[in-house]
Amino acid sequence: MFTKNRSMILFSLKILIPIMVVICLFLYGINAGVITFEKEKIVSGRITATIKIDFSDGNLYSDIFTTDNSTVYDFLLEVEKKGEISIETTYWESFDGYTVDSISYNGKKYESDMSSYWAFYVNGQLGMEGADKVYLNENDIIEWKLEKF
Amino acid sequence: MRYVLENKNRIMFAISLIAIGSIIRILLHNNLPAHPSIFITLNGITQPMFMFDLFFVVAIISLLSGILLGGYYTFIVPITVMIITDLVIGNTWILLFTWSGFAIIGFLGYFLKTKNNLKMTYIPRIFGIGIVGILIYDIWTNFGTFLGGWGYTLSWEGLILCYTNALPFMFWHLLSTTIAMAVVIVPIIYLKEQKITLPEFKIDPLERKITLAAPAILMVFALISLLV
Repeated sequence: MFTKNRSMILFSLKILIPIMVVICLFLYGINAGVITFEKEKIVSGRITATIKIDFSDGNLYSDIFTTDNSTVYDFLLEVEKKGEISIETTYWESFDGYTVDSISYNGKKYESDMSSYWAFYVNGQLGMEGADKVYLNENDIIEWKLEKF
Repeated sequence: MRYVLENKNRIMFAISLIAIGSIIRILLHNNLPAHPSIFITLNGITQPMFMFDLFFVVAIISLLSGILLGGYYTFIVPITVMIITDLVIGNTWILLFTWSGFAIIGFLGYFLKTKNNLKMTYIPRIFGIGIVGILIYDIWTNFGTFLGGWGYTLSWEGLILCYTNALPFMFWHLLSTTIAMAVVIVPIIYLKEQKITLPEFKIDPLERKITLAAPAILMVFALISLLV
């Protein structure tokens, strides 16, 4: 009887202790500010940055822009507003962000497909979120590249 | 033909698992909700804590194929699910890493079966091994992403950045697959203990050796695919 109760207690502890550890880590993360329930809103004002687009066939575009609400996506829209390029994008609800499907430049359309995709880099670091989620700092360098898989 | 007749129950069950996994993955892949408003900041990067995908579907199918079928089906079932669904959904050069990752999870299910761990008293051990399988999958597939030069510099900093960016997917994999194991695997083990389950399938020594070798061979192919 005693052995059976002891086994039941050990079995319960083996399940409850990991669950309690996870809950405690989660609460500690909230307390330490590591885990939050609202993404920090960044108001960046007017930012000047360089945008480069590498079309992977020798064509390169580069210019400097100054704009408000400065995400990577905003800068790409600035290039489009100037009439230099034309872009097509898709909004993904699961990622809550945009991907660039194609950029047209000098009459040629450069599309993402099964073998290539549009990626952006900020100061040499690959962007891992949607371009509309990455805010820039003064004098940042944005590079859009048509990468091969 | 003789093999098919002798193993018709096993084959039918394998086909059922493949069908269920493929249908769920194809139907849901475009219907995932947006990530919840929980964010985590690590290594200077703030990102959602959970990024939804359908890993848990194929992971449970892999575990079930190892636990209930064993032998060749340990890796044939999950890889067939991935082939069928990748033909519809699409995949990238990393496909051999994901396929071999699921073969590893299937192998862990088979390991639980062969070590006679499929009992209610061993539930914590089963969950522990399941979690280890998920971590191995994530470490392996993200290592492939890092080696493939997908925007990460081949340096220690690049490796840390790669794994930091993978955390939202890993957290979701751990949460969703643990819940799926509680809902699917635990009742099956309970039914097995009550003798209300599928019969044991005989696995010959050659099949056992191939089952052990398959995940390792796939991992080697995955690494070779980076060189090609």
